[in-house]
Amino acid sequence: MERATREVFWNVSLVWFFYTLSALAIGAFVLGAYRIVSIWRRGWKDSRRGKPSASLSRTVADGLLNRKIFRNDRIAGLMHLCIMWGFIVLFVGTVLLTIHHDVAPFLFGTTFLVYSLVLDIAGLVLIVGVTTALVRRYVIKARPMNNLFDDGVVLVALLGIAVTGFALEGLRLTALEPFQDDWSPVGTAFAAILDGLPGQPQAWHGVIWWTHAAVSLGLVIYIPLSKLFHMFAAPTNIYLAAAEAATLTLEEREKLVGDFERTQMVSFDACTKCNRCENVCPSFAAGEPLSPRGFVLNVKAFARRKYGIETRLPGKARESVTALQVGDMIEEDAAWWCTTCRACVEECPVSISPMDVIRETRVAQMADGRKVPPTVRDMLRTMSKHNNPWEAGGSKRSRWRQELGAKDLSAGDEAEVCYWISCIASDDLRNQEVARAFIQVLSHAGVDFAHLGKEEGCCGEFVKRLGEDGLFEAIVENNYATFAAYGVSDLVTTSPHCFHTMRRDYPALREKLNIDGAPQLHVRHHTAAIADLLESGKLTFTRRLDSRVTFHDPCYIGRHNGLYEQPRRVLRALPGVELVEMPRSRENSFCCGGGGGRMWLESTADQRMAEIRVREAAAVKVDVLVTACPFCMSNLHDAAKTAGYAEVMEVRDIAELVAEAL
Amino acid sequence: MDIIVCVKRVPDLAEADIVIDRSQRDIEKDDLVFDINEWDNYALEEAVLLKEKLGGTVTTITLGDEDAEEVLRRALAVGADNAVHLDDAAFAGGDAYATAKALAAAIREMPYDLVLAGAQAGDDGYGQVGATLAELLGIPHATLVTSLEVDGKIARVRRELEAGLEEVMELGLPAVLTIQTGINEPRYVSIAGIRRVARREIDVRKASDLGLSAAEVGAAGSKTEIEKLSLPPAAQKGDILEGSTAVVAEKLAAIFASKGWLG
Amino acid sequence: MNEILVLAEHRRGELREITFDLIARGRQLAEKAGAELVAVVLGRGTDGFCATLAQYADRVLVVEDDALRDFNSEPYQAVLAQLISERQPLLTLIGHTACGLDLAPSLAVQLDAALVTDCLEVEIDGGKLTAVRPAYGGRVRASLQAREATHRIATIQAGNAPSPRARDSAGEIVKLQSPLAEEMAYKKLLEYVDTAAGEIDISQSEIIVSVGRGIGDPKNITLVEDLANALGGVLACSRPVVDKKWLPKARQVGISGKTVHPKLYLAIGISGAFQHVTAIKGAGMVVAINKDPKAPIFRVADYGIVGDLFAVVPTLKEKIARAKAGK
Repeated sequence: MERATREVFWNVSLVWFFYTLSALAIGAFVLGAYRIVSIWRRGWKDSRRGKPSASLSRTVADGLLNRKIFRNDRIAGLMHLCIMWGFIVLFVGTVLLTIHHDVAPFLFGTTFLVYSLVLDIAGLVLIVGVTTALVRRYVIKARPMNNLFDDGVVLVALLGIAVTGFALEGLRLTALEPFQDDWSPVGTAFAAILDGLPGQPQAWHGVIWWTHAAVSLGLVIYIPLSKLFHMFAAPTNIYLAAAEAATLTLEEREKLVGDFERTQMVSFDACTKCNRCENVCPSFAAGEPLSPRGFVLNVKAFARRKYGIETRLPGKARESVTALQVGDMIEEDAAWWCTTCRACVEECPVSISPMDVIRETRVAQMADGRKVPPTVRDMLRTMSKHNNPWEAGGSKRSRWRQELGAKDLSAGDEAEVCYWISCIASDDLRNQEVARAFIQVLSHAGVDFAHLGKEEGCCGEFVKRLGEDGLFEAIVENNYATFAAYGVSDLVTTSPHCFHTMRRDYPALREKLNIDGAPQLHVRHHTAAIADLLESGKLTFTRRLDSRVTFHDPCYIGRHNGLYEQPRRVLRALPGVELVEMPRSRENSFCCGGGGGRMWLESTADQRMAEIRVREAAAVKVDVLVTACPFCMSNLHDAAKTAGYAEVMEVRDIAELVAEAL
Repeated sequence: MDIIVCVKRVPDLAEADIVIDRSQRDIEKDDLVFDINEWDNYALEEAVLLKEKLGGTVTTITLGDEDAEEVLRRALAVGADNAVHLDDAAFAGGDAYATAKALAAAIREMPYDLVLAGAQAGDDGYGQVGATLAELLGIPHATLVTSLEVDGKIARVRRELEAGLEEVMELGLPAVLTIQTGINEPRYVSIAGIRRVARREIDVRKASDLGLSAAEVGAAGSKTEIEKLSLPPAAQKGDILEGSTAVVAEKLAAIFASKGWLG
Repeated sequence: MNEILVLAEHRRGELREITFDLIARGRQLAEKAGAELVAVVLGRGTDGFCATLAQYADRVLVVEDDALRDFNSEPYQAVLAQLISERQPLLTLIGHTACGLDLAPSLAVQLDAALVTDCLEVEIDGGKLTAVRPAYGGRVRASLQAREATHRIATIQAGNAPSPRARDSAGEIVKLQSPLAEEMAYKKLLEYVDTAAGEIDISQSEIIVSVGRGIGDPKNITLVEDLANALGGVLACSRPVVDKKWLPKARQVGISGKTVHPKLYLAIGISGAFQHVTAIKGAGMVVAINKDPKAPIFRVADYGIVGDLFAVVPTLKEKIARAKAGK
């Protein structure tokens, strides 16, 4: 028996022409890829890197196994896995064949048969994947997508390559009648179908071969010009993506050249416009003019226009683009709508953070100043003058704090733990009740605590989210000085925003700014603190609450800090409380609309996020919508009234339920 | 188009309890926060907007002690090109006239097509400096300007009158315009923005640099002097309703009902 | 001369209210100083004004000129400067209005006069001018004294004056030759524009619920609007709300906005700056809700609630709705 193998370029004349075309296509690809990579290199470099092991395992899980695509949509995951691995195997197969033909022949006998079978299966898998994609995108419209020309071209080209590949195999098998048909099952099937073609299989083969080659080489050129480049950019981005965006001091920022961090520049090209971020964006859902996808693509277009190699050509083009500012590319005021809820980050299959990209553009907008919304502008001015965002007088606020009856560090009291009350709980009537309830819980548990009285300013969290990093830096320095003066290092707060910024943003600045005597902070959110008290048996419940409740995960304890279990543990421990979940909970929780400085921005959209959320809670028929954030409280409490649920459903903080059960 | 903007640093009293100091001629300022005078902030924005549209320079000028430099820094951050600080112990305690005299002496030496100032200041509230300055410079003026267009050597302005009425006027340039709040939407000035101009040079001038003697400026050169400050009587005209929110709301609703307004 | 000069202010063919405030103030000062009260009318076709003013003033001086038809500080200043230098009055009173602000400072410079602006009270005693005026946005009162000067000018806040008392016999009307020779080219009035034209006229409403900067955020305005609806009134506001463009100019109550005469004026989160409270003097009842017990609005309020508007307003709306439903 002859050794099984394959005759390369069977029935193909003008092979030299094919080689020339290939060289040209590869050249075009390299040029296109260089253009993109050179744009990436115009981003500023952040020296922080995640642990290589973590980066690697993320790259394997999200990059090679498409973990995040499977999230919430298994069929999409399978589909992409099929296309991706089908493509990879076929590509590797082509490379092996080239080696076999041009370098060292090795595809003989069993090796060839296995090779042949694997490629056959890969081709089938690719066809299945691409067909599913086409059906989902254009026929059944599985989820809201934004169909562009690019998307169709890519799918049709891939399908074309796979189908023509099989057709060639089939025609070759028909003409050559080779040995082991079982090792090319799909090719054999195609051979059977094509058997009925009129004329010589050789003639058909010639035409299809050149078609196959043209589409394949075309696709090679098309890769760096289309979303297909994500095959390189996405894994790169997944590997490079840090958990959080870099914290920069003003001084560091002054030395930077460029508009975005390098990883962010990579992330623009990792985007495949899959629209997942838009589908989970609460602002988009409320009908506001923000799409995280749209935003990232806008910024990508900006980066290309400003940094693409074509701008280095002589002529006037260069002049006009070097002056381009980030603000010029942002449609109207899109950047200001982001609630920084992190849903887009959680959802993105390729580790893009539209949230951080948006914040970065806010930083640029702040520096320019002209497009800062007036309400935000006024709040920031108030903040810089009075150290609180509302024009509520410091004297009124400290008077209220004195009336709380708790110990007051600013009045000379001492305590182990500092309760950081937050601005909103000091000035907003509804949230004042939450502060009182939490104080009751702490007192009951015998915790030695005090607040900072007149010395408690603002934590500055939303100042940071809004991109006014200079002011934030001043606030952090100021607060560290207060902590040092009163010996505060152990903090507990009822606001996830204070909690988050002191836990995540403060330490980075403390290190970089080298603030004199700044203590290392240990900050807890009150849900965690209450869960701890419960565990150590410090809380005894004497009253049954008898209510059906659901928990709205505040973004800044949930997605930003992973505190999903603690509040649920507490709620389950309350006598008579039945906890049910809303369809969107935990990582999928839907933002109330209060984060990212949005408390100072009026929406012009028809819907309010908080109303959407309140309707969700009402749909699971609960008596109480429980939350653990003053912004959520404020927004949901309001929305319950405006959406007409005030009579059937209360909005309460977890601390209030706990206090009531004591 | 060269524009000069007069700015002033004033205390922000929104949150403050005001206390008259021991001299009885001033208020306690130690615990107050200061900022650019609100009207001047609009004037500054208007100047920079004009510059961005027509080209030219914006020079900002203030009279005050060393702390007043911060409003000049702010102005530079907004987009002013130059800053002039009239800082001399002799300038202290001046009224609107003495202030305008010092400003006029400094401005006379500079090239300008337009001088902008706030319509009044949040502290003294004389509403006098702009028009006084114009007369000292011998150029026309318009006060309480709510919109401004420049067309060659002509400024077309709207002045705010009473009862929702405005008048449209034309003035030949150079002229002094005093700007009313609301004429534009002043931009935000970030801390980073102020830091960027931290090392920019400020032109500091004393009375003698302006060819003025100490007797001509400040308190000595004023036409009026403050004898005494006092807090206005706190007497209420009517009743303050007492009680919890629910109680006072109930009382008020009852008063409305008794008038027959809730029928 | 032993005279108190008062500049009559008119616009679009009508004498403005401030003129009568000035006449009343001028009369008091003239009586104390044993001086004559002289009204000055600059304009074109002013016979009606002169006849009216002659009922109150000892003498009415009239200068007619086309350039004086509408207020323009340039010709006004030229004529007044000449008049004052000739007559050497004890004191010249001008309204602290858009006209007065445009005119008085430059006039004072030309005459080298001592000028006090925005006066609540003025005294002239032995040629010495003293005045009480607001400072720090009305939160402080300043007593000022003018230094020795050839001429003295004061601009007077609107309101605060009694109704002027008519003379037994009409005062003398003296027509003077216009000193204006050539046309002044610097400053031209093109037209008047009514910014509130075509919008709701809040001054026609019997009940006005007005919101000030205490509302903090534009989205909170609906809170007050709901209360206005519950009361069957209209929503209005103070100047800062218009400056921030949260409500249109037509909704503004104040000297530069609308002067109103409703039976109920409910001021919410409005501190009560002078220019605002002057415009609500005609209200039948003023009710104020403000967190600051020292807010000047309480000085003019018939009823006041010291408290957080975010608590009071919704509760009040609820009580009103209940009271209405109970009927």
